[in-house]
Amino acid sequence: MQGKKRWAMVALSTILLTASWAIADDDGHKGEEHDNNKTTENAAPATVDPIYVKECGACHFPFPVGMLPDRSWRAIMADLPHHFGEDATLPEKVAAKILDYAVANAGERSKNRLDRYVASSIKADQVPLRISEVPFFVKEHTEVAKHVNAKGPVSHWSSCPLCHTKADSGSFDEDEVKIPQANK
Amino acid sequence: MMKQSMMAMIFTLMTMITAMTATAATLEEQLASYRTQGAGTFDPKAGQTLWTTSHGTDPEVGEKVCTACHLNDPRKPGKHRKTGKIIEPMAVSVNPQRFTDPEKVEKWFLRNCRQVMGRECTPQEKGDVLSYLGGL
Repeated sequence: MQGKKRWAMVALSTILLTASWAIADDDGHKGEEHDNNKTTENAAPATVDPIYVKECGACHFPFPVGMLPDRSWRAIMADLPHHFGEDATLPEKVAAKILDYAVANAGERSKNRLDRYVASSIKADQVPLRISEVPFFVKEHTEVAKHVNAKGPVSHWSSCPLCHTKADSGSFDEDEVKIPQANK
Repeated sequence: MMKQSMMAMIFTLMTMITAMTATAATLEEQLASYRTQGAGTFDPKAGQTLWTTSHGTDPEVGEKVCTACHLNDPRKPGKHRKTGKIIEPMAVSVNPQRFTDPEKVEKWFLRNCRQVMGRECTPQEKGDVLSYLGGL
């Protein structure tokens, strides 16, 4: 009987702790859903395709695919031999798998509300090839733009994890940002 | 009893499959495959020359030469000049994982030869470069 009571206490405190975490995490993210994928407003899907990470991540940070709309991914994957000045050719089958993953999780279809909002805010005739060209991205980074330059420790917009300390786990919350400073 | 022998059989099969997939291609096998494609004897010196020869400058990415990202000394880690991503050493002596996956080798030769030389490399050129990177 004593044992049963103790277990009940443990279960209750677990529920309470989880609930308080959910409330705390909701700070500034009104009406955010916490589904099995732990999708938060600024997070990429927890399940990132391993082929996408292996192939695209071989050269650069594997950007969350929800940050670009469907049409952008189709345009990017259609011209891998001229990928921002680099030849990034992939075997056809591999490229097709990556495209499938990217369009299935592109902005419009993302589980993430913010991704869907950002995708819908891009003008229909625009096909951004860089996340850093998306108007929402530009607006969010106005204040920190001066820190991204060839001379500084952050030389390219593509180096997300240099400032977004939890980017590797798909989280881009403002609270987690730490801008590296140049050595003086 | 029946169950035990079944388990033993499954275990043996699993071990066999693991052993088969773990057998990586060797550099020697890679070179042999280039010979079957018409290459002759491989020359590490010619490979080194290819490694360090510049093919001009691309306005978007800079100088077209292997060492722009991989450095002159392939025993040291390089760096992707645009994204800053660290590229592990190419010399087999310090990075034994290199050239053990033929598909990866061909993928990168295709990309980088076109990027640097403006054309695909011949089996001879690929073999020369591999014998240079394998013999350091």
